[in-house]
Amino acid sequence: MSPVSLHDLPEEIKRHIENESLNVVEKLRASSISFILIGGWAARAIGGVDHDRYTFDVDGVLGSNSDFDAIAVILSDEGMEVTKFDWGQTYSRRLKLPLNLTQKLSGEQRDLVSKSKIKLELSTSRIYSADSKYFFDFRMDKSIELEINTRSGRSIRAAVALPQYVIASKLGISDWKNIYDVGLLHKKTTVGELVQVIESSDNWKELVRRKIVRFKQEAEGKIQGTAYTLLNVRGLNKGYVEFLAELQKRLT
Amino acid sequence: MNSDLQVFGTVALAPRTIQELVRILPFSHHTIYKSIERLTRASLLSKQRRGKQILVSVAQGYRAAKFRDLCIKALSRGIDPAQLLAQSQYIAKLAGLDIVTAVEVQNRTGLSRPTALKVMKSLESSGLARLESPRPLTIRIDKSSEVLATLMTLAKPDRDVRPSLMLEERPYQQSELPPEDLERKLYATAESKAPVAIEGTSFVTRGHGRLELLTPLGRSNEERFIRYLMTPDGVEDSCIRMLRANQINHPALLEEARRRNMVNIVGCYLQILHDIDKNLVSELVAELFRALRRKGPRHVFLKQLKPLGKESFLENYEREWNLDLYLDFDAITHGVGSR
Repeated sequence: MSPVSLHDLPEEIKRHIENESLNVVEKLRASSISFILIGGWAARAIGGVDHDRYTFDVDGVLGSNSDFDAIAVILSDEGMEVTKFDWGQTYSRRLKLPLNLTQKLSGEQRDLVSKSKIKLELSTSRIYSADSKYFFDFRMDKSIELEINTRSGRSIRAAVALPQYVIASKLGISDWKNIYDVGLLHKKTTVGELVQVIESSDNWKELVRRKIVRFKQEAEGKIQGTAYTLLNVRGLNKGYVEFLAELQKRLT
Repeated sequence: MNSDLQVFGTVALAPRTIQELVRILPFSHHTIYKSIERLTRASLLSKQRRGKQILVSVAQGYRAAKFRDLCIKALSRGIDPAQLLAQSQYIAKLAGLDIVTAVEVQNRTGLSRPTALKVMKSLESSGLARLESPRPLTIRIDKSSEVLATLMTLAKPDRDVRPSLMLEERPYQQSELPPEDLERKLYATAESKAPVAIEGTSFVTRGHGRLELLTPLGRSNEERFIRYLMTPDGVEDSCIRMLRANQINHPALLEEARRRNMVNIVGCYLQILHDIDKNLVSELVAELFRALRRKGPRHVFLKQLKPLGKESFLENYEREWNLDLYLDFDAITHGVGSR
């Protein structure tokens, strides 16, 4: 097994990588293109210091499908490669470290960095389940301007989907990351607000009603996976179980 | 047995005050006090004031715990731990062998012939080896000896434990370790303030900082892959990471799956991953498993997710692989999309 993780890179290098991701967000903000952050960075902006799980991937949704081409032009200038999908586009490029930082890495760390990419994933405001049977609508007018603070003390502002929208979308995929994220963020909204958002997205409610079972299994410890362990360590299980039970009741 | 070991052996059974040790051990107050000082400096014993008394107990930590194990196991088998410890550096060099001759001992330890013979006799008399032939003296190391195993763990230096590859930053640091190293790590973490959990168990401690997630390492990557495949997190995350890091030998995985009668489950999973991302699992690999599919009773894949019900979307996979599937396709897709 390869013996390093990004967490073990020198702090200076982690800061650099984090800034690279945020540079992409700033580049988009400087244009007139309307987009909001969802996913990990949105969870971080909403959760603040409590949210300790994030990737270098920046996930967002666009206000208009016609903006995809303009974004492709802007980000191509940044050396990012565009890949088109039915649901949107991704823009990625390999991580580039200045020579003075690369010299501080061991061979294994260099190898890890060389495999890493800065990636921006933009979709239309409607996101679909993998079988395309269910969809969830983000709304550009349901966002909030928030500050995202970095380790290096830098802070940028970006439009972020409202907490109830971020949580509602995460409730459609019941893997440990989303179970943990919702556990961290659930106090940022109310069950009432969340129900309203879930019910506004066509049949999303049907999907959430099914997936919420798994969220509860982990929160209650019936399945003791990664999310359960992380929530347990932070003492979040109890309030989370109550929140999910109430949500389940309201959705039934 | 010298005073140090006698003091340690006594305290290993139950914490004692210095006064009690003086009363029950055949040494002077001064000798016992000096032994306690030496053992405390070596981090094997710890002292705690209890009113006017000083209570002596085995110190925290892996080495002290293993030392206690060795003392108790050796004594209960009639072996003098002092003698074992005095020869431990030589025993460590011989433990990997099967049949041992005096020449072998001399070559491996650099001892003279008379001392080599003495070590061999000592191994035989303490039950760590069996006599194969008296002339020339030949012994067979008893690999099943618990005392030998414990002695070897003490002789091994601490290894540098490093976390596994992760291309994203997670709220935990995972270390996949063989049982012996995990035990060492567990003792080391007992003194840290960070939270600790052991994957697959409900053992968890709260604390400050990043969670240390300790994962027992299976005998092979393929065995570990199959163990992960029994859990939702494994199916949706860990197995995908192992495939992405090229840690899986597919013929070896097939063999392991056959041994466990799980060809259909593993094959179906690889087929699903192939259909999501052709770069992650090649068609050839899915084909390898398809050719060896088994008929007979239907197995359930991921029973834990049964309360969520089945996804009609997966019916074709169920038919093709003769399985009852309770997988969360969205979660698997999300796992493949994450890095």
